[in-house]
Amino acid sequence: MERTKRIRDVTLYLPIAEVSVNAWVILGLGGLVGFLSGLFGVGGGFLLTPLLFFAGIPPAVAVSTQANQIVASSFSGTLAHLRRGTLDLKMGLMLLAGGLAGSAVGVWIFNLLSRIGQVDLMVQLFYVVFLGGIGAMMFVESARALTRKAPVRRKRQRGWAARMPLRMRFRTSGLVISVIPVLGIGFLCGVLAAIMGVGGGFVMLPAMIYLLKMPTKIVVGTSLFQIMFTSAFTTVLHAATDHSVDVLLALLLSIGGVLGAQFGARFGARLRGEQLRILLSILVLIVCFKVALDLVLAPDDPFSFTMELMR
Amino acid sequence: MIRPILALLLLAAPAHAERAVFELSQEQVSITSTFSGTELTVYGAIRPDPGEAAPDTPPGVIVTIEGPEGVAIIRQKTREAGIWVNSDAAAYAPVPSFYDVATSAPLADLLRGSEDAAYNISVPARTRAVTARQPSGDPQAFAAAMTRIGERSGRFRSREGAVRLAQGALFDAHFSLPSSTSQGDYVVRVFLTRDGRVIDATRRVFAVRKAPLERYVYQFAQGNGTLYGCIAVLIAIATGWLASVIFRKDRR
Repeated sequence: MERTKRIRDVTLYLPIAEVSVNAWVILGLGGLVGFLSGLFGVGGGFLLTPLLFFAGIPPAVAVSTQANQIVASSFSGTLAHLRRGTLDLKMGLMLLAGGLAGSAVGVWIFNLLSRIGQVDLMVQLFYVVFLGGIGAMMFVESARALTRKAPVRRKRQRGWAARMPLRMRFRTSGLVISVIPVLGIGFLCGVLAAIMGVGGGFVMLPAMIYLLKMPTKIVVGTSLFQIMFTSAFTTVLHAATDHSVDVLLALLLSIGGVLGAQFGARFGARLRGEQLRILLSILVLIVCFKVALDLVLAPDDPFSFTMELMR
Repeated sequence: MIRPILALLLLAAPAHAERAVFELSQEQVSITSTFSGTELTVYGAIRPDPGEAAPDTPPGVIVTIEGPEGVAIIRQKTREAGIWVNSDAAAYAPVPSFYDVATSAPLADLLRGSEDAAYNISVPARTRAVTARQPSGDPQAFAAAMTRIGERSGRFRSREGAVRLAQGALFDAHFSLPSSTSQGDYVVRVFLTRDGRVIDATRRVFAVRKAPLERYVYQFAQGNGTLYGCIAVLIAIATGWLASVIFRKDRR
């Protein structure tokens, strides 16, 4: 009896967050988000950050530390996809190159917005507009694909991406397309990710599916590969500028996250592309709805109280 | 006509000379890896001054604990074009990060307003600070919000009857510091009151410190952020790799 109680409440003090947490709760949160990450190829920061707020982690620490845990889960997921051959390395590198340039520009725009003020509001509005638009579009498309009796193979029409110059062969994705739209999409996603403070998986995934016309299963692995680099970059940036990355919290989240990601990747292998897409679109719409609700509903108390210690 | 005179007489009457001596159950609180808040007991005795007899009734006893000070930021949301936006803010400093007042009877019975203002004992009196940023709206509403939210979240506490008196001369008060306790110097104050006036005030400081490992991690993160970040990324990659290896073996 005594022992089970001791196992049940393992409290750990987090040295940077300066609060103590129940280790099992944090492991569980990491596992849940890792599962979604492995399944859909999203980083999961958009879900983990608010969940960490609920667990009592200070906002600044939650935002920076979730980036660190995404490094772990996306690396684990990337390896799983690499073994299964569902990762287009060449495409991932091209997107990454565009993405890094884009996030530099994005950080610049973010600083410009914060100088004007109301950056939080801008971020929330971006969430609602982008998540809502992308989610609705994906939902309609995948629902249509699912309701079709026999899954017809989408005929691979030569889109605009194939007609542009500087064509390149992406063998894993089975595409011969120009690098210009690939770099451009990477760049745009980098800009949005930096402004919205997320890994960008949400914007990247539909762009790869609908604009580049990559197979859904390859998209997940490739997105994880790219997210791994951007989240590592974000972690170091946060650690260097606001010292708010908590290694112990990240380790707990990572252990849960990597296990979850492995299960997620396996579970995802059993699903059809359109099933994966409709589930992702539902998740996107739920998050979008939640953000929109926060903007429109009256808060319990219009006042809020935060404290900054003098050191 | 008689009442004001009586009040004047009381005011002029010399306070009973009594002093409090007290001890803390812990002189130093260490935040270790399994820290989840701590209990602290303040216990002591009330002694009459040498050569004076103890009065028939014990004095009122107030015990307070305050945490390290910081800047309190109060933000207000208002509805603009259908959506709720943080539109106004006030900042006050220095405000204690934690404040707990334990008393032997209702505070209003033990202390009059002027004495509270002089000694900063009640939650509103102790948390009142210099306005570092003036809100454009009603300043009263912002100050009230700080007390209200502080009390709701347990940051500020006021517990009437939490000081126990025994045999007319001994007292003790239990405090629980939350798991979110910040490190720093904490101040314990003990006040004795009679007829609404403070007759004795003593204070004592105790330290809340991180254990060496926790302190080292914190200082490393502050001092060399880039290296710390790189190590954090490496740990994450190692964790991800390890999981992937374990799962591959599991498969065979």
